[in-house]
Amino acid sequence: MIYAENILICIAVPLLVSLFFVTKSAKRFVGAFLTGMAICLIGAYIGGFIDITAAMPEGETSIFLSPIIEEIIKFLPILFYMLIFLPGNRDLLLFAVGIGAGFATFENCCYILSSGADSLPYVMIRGLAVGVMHIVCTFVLSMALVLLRNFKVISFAGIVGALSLSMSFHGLYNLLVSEPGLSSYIGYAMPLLSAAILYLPYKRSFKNL
Amino acid sequence: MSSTSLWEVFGVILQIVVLLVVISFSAGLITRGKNVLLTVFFTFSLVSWLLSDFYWITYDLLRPGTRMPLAANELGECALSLLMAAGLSPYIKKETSRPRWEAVYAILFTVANTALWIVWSGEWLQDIVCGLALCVFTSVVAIILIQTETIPRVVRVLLVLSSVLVLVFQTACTYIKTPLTKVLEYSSYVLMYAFLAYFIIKAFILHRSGARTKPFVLMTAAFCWAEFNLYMSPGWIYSVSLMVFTVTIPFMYLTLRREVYADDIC
Repeated sequence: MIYAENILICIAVPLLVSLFFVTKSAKRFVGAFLTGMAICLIGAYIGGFIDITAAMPEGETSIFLSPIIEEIIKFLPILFYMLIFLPGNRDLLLFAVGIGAGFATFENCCYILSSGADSLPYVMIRGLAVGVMHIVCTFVLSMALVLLRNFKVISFAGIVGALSLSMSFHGLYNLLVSEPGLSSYIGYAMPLLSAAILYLPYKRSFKNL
Repeated sequence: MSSTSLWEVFGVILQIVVLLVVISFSAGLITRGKNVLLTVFFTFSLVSWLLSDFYWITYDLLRPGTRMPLAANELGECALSLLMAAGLSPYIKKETSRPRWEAVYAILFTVANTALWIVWSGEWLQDIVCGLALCVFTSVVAIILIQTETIPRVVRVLLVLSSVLVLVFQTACTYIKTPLTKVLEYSSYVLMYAFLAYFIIKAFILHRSGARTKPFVLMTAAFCWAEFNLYMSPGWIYSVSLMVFTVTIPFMYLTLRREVYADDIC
């Protein structure tokens, strides 16, 4: 058993202090990173509760429930930030990446503390696969939000559609890595490949938005 | 694995290949910076359908014969409907002079379909979630079909009558088991395929004549219609519907490409 709350405090305090010494974009990113870590903990509470309530067999929770819960919990602060603070496009994308990075970092810390960090391949997989997957999901979501807002067609359908897309990406990753063998290798490669593919349209089109 | 299942797997693999090709082309349209909203949402929609297909194949390989609860597969299908609807929404003109009966009918048709899916599969949650997303997409398509005056009044009436007949036939087949019900079932597929053929052929003729928006609207309607067709088909008819649905995707892209280069919205 690990004490996730204690780990959060340990990692969050230096970052909180750093907020006083950084400005503008850096402050926004650190704030989003901290929020990402906090919502990861909240997501774990909600996931644990639903897991017990739904009484699903072991292993099925991570395939069927976790993608839905985690994506909704990551999506809520991004939506809140967009609607309340009315940030620019770049700021929104930065905030979303910060949320994804914070979420992934805290999740990795907890997994590594519970399973051990003696295996370098395992640590690399956690970092390159799961870590990147959370960033890709939040980035796609924020790209869709930016587009909807820019073209003044922000709607329930568009927002939920983008959320469903990130959920299905997350769900597919979790399913692929749930079994050892070829499927898991494909799963581990999927987030990095997607990040590389996403970078192209972002570089050409979104930077100018 | 039965021959029907093999055909289904083959159909999904074929669809994955087609989707990969079409996505790569439509991503190319994004980078050219023409009507970014439509192309991005079209690409995102196809990506979500691709993820859904990948999920289906992976699940079938890793957990054969086990029940799939509400999963990424259905969420991908919902994403497709909602993102398509979001991408098409700029086509809807604001008008206050008349009620949008076409949207009301489209929603009623989708709700009736959803009720039948629940009866067939027994899966409440996923059918309702998918049905709600499809309601949004269908109503947007119906409004655009009317506003752009893409189909004449006679065809509209025939479309409504046919869809009612399809629902009646399918409901009868579900509850009454006589030799005649088989005839009714096949009649409903004939009606569905007839309208699908009408949409595709008319889109093709208009596309050849140099039209821009109408072929795209017609292919979007064909895509939506093919999706309904797919969801209501069992056994070998499902495999055929899957192939037909796959065929609509590249055609839709071709009409989208011309529409994007028209660049007359946004």
